[in-house]
Amino acid sequence: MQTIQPTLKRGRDVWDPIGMPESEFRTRVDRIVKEMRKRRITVLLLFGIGQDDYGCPCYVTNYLTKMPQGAMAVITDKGEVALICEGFARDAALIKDTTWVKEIRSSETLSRTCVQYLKEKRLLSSTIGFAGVRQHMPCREFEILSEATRGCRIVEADPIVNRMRMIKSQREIDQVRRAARLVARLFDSLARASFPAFNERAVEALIYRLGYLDGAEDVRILIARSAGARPRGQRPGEKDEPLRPPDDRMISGGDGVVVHLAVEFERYWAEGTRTYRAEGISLAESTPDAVRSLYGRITKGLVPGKTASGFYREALAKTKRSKMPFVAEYGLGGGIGLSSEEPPLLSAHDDTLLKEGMTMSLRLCVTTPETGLTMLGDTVCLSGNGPEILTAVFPQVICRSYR
Amino acid sequence: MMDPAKLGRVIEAMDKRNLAGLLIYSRGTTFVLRPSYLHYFSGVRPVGKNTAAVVSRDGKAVLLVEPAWDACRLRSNTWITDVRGTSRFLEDLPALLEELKITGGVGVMGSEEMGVELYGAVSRRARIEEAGDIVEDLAGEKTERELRVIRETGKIADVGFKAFLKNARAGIREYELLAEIECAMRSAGADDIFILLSSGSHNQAMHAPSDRRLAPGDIVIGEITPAREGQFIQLCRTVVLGEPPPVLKEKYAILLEGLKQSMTEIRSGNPASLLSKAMNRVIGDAGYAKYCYPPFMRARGHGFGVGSIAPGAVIDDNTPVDLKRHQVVIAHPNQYFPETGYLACGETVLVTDRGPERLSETETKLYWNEI
Repeated sequence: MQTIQPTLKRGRDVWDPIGMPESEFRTRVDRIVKEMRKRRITVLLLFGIGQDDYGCPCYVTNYLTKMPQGAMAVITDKGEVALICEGFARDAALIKDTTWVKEIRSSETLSRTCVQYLKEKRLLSSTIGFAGVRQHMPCREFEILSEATRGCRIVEADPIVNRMRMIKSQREIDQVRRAARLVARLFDSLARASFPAFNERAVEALIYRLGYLDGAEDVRILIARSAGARPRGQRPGEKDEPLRPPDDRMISGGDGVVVHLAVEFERYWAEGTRTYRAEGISLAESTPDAVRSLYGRITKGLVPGKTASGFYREALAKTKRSKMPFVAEYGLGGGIGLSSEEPPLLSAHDDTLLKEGMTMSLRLCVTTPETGLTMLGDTVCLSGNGPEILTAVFPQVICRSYR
Repeated sequence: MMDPAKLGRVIEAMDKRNLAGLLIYSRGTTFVLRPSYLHYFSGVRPVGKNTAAVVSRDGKAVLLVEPAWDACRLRSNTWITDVRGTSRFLEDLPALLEELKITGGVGVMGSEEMGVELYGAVSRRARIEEAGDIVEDLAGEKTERELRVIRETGKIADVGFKAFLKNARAGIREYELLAEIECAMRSAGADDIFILLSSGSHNQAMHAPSDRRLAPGDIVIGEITPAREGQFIQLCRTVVLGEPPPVLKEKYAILLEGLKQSMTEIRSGNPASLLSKAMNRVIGDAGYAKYCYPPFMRARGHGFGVGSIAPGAVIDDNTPVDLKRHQVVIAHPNQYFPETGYLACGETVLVTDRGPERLSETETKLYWNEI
C-alpha cells in the first residue's frame, strides 16, 4: 500500500551479516549472472531511488537509500559487483558498514559516475541490461546514461530480477517474519494503550516510538475514519473517510478508526490493517464476525498453484456472496518484501502463478451496517502448508517432531 | 501553503513568458535541501508517487492524484477546487493538458523528479520550460500563517532537544534514543522529522542510528529537525555523557564563538557568504583552517522552506546571493577537530531587517549529563 514517504528513513540502520550473510548476496549475484549470460548481457545496471524504490540495488548489495537519492548496483558477466550511490563523497566510508560490496563510489552525479565506471571497465560498447532504470530513474539522469550508452545494445532486464525477488529465500522470509512480528506487536500495543490526549497525533507518536524502539528501520501509518461505528443518527451526515496520514484531529468515544501499519526491518517490509472503535480513551478492535469470517475464507484461498488473477476473482466472488459491499480502491494487495508493493499484484489482470516462498500483503476493505468502513489486512507467507499469517499476534505455529 | 490570492501573479508570470500552462509535479518525496513546489502550491503533501497540479493560462487549476483514494483528503485540504483521482496517471496527465488546451510552452516545476516515461509523455504534448522560479519568487514572501508555522516548528525542535538531553544516557542504544526524540516531537505536532545522530568518543560524522549503546564519556551529536506543514527547523547540538574534558570544552567554545560571529552577519541585504566567512575566520584563527573546507566540511548553512529554500542548499564562502527578509536559515559551525572528532552546533533563524530572529529557545552551549 502506498504511504506517505518520510524525508529520511530514521530508524535503526545496520547490516546483520549473520541474518543476511555475504553468501546470500553472492548466491543472488550468481543466479543473476547466469541469466545475464543466457541473454548475452555483459553488464547489468540495477537502479533504485528514495525511501520506497530501493529494492533493485538493495537486493544484491544490501544498500538502502534513506533519502530521495539514487543508487546503482553494477554487475558484470564475470560476477564483479560495484555500488554507486548518489550523495557526498564523504558518505562512502559510512556505506561500507552496511554492504558486503567493496567497490563503492559516492557522488552527487550518479549517472556520470556510472558512465565513468563503465568506461574504466571498457564496457561502453557492450550489451547492457537495465533493471529499475526506466521505472525509477529521473529523466535527466536517464538522458546522461542514455547518451553515453548510445552505441550499446540495451536489454530490459527487469523480469530477471523481478522473478527472483518474487520468491523469497528462507533468510528473506525470516526478515519479513521479523518485520511482521513488529507490526503484530504494534497492533497489540495499540489495543492496550490509553491516550490521555486522544488524537491521531498521539496514536501516531506511540506507533513511531514503539516501532523504532523495537529496531524498525522505517514505520508508516495511515488512518481512516468510519462513520458506522456509532449509533445511526448520532452525527447526521457523517461519512466514512478514506485512508490518509494522521493529522491533528481528536478521537472521541464511538469513533470508528481504521489503522494501516507498515514496518520495515533490516530492509524488508510487512504490513497490516485493523479496524477499531474508540472506547473512552482507548481503541478496541471491532471487526464484525462476519467480516472476520469472510476474510478467513479469502485468506485460505491464498495458496500456491493458482494465478493472482484467479485468486482475485475467487475473493471477489466470496465477498459478493457475503453481500458486504467491497471497497475496490485499496485492492486486495500483492507481493511484499524489499518494497511494500512488488509483483505479483492481486488483481484481475495479473496472471502470475502464485508459488511457495512468496510473501504477500493481503487486505480486505468492505462496508458493513455495524461498523461502516471496515478493513482487515495481514502479511502472509505462501508455504507448502498453506497460507501462514505472519502479522497475527500469535502466529500459527507448526510443531515438528524431531524424534 | 501558497495564498490562493497569489494565483493572479502566477498567471502574470505565465503571460510574461508566453507559457500556455503550468505543471507542478511531485513523485511524493521530500528532500530537505530542495523546495517542495507541489506542497507549497497546493497546500498538501501527496501520499502517492504521482501527483500534479496543472494551471491553464485562464486560471483554471486541476490537481491530478494517484492513488485515487488520496483525492478525498487532498480535496479537503487544498484551495484547488477541481481534484481528480486516477489510476492511469501517465495517460491522464497528457489528456488533462489537452483538455486545458495547453500546447506550446508549459512551465514545469518538479521535472527533476519525473521519470523517463512521464517526461516523454508531457514533452510530446507541450514544450517543457523550467519554471521553478515562479513559485520560488512567491514563496519568498511569507504570509502571517507561514511565519506562525515557522515559529511553532521552532518550539517543536525545543521539545525534541529536551527529549534528546533527557534520554542520552549510558546504556541506551542510538536507535532507542531516536525513538524517544521522535515520539516527543510527534506528540508536539511534528508531521515529518529528519534526525541524524551519532555517538562515540571520536565521531567522524553524523549518520543514521545504529545498534551502538551509549557509553560513559561518549560525545553524542545530533541534528534534530522537526517539520510541520513542510517547514523544517533544525537544532544541531552536542551532549556529553559525563563532564567533558577541558579540550572538548575549549574546542566547543570555538564553535560557539564562530556561531556568534556568524549571527552578527545575518540580516536582510547582507551577502549570505558572510555567515560562512565569519565562522571560518574564527575556526581558522584557532588553527583549524584546513578542516573548514572539503573534504572535512561541505556547507556552513543552508536555507529551509517549503516553496523555496533560498538562499540555497549550500551556504559557503562563495555563495553569491544576499540574504532576504523572512528567509529561514540555519548557521551550523558543525566541525571536525582532530582532538575531539566531529561536534555539532547550529541554530535556525528567521532573517529580518534588524538581524536574526532565533526560532528555538534551547540555549546554545555544550551540554552534559551526569552519569
